Amino acid sequence: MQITIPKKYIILDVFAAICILVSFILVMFFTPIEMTMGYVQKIFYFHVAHAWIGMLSFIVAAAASFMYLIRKNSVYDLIAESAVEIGLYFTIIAVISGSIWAKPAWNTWWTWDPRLTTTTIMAFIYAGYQFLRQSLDNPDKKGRILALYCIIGCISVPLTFFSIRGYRSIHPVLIGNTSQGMGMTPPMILMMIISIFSFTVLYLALMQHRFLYAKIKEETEAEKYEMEYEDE
Amino acid sequence: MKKFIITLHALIRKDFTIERHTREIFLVMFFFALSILFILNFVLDTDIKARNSGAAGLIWIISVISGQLCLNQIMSLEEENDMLQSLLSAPIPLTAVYLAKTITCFFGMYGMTLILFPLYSVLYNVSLYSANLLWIAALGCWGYASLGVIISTMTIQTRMRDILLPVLFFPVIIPLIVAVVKVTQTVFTGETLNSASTWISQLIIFNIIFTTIGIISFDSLIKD
Repeated sequence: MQITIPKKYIILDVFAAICILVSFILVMFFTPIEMTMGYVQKIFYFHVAHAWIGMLSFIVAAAASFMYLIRKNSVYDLIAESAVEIGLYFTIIAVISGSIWAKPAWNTWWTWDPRLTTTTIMAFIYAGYQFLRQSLDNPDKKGRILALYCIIGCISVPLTFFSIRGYRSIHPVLIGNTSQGMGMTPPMILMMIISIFSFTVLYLALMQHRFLYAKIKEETEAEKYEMEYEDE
Repeated sequence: MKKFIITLHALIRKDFTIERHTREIFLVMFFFALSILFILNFVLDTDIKARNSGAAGLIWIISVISGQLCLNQIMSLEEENDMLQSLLSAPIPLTAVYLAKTITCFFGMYGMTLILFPLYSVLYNVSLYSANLLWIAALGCWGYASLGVIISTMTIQTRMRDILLPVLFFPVIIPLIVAVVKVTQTVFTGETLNSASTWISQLIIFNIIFTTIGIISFDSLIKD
């Protein structure tokens, strides 16, 4: 089967590449060096962006799953499939990059902070989603079961966060709470916004490719399933 | 409504009759829980402080792990001799099937948990008796069963079946486990239940949300 990537996809790919490159150069050479943490603080620009994409992606997946249950259109299932996979990778990178940052900043690789714990549990839920997808054959049932599990996972994540919010936290708060904030200067805040924007563009570029791949895979699997069904 | 209750009663009776004849679920589950309770002895040893402070968490972890055997079996027995297909083709509301499975699983879990509390007390010489445990365990077990039956219905339709259940189920059940352990701990330490009101609310919310999801979605989950 000949797979051709539409030319319009390349526009977003190039734009994403430029954004990421510019962000990387700005973070490395133009952002101020934090007084106490030094260079290691620069991880934070990528860590926060990855965590944001992870969260955004899972929300997109839950919304697409909900739409699938209402409309029964397989496009929504493919969007959910793509969003969960990309979101899972970004979340895992966010947890690992956070851990690398935490060692010099907190003198520990891991702490049972509500945000860390919830994010990791979220990764477990969506890793389970991936296993579930691999293990289902019937295309129609597959969509319904996966959509429901995605919604259950999406409901469980905030409940988990609320259930462990009382645990001691040393995680910096970027928005809303000044007493536990990082004391970010305006150039740092600007860089954070640029970084989040760049990774969002990268996310959109990845989504279009993953969606195309999911579509081709679905067509192939449907043919395979029909052939097996006919044989039986 | 009357027809619905008759169907529900018949389905529950069917599951209990199968269990009475085969003894494949509750007895196995209970002995599994008992084995873990004994293994704990080698971990806790003579640490009296750990036996006391960890009682709530340990008992619920044993219940959760053992209950998984019940969830695996409760839906799998419908797969034998195409019983599931017969149920699907029968002129009965599928919501009744969901509620029947949840109630059967609830009774299994509830019975086991209520046995575990005094058993832990006797084996580890810790006083864990309180009437409040009756309704706390009921809330915990209902939440477990209501979500567990949904996930179990999903996994019986996969190629990986039983292996997949804990991977899918344990991460989503965490809010229930945290809440029920906190409330149980409050009872064990002798504090008033007012101090655990947030956790109790969370338990109730969890139960309502997942029972509603089960009732609404069971049809689309199981139908071809």
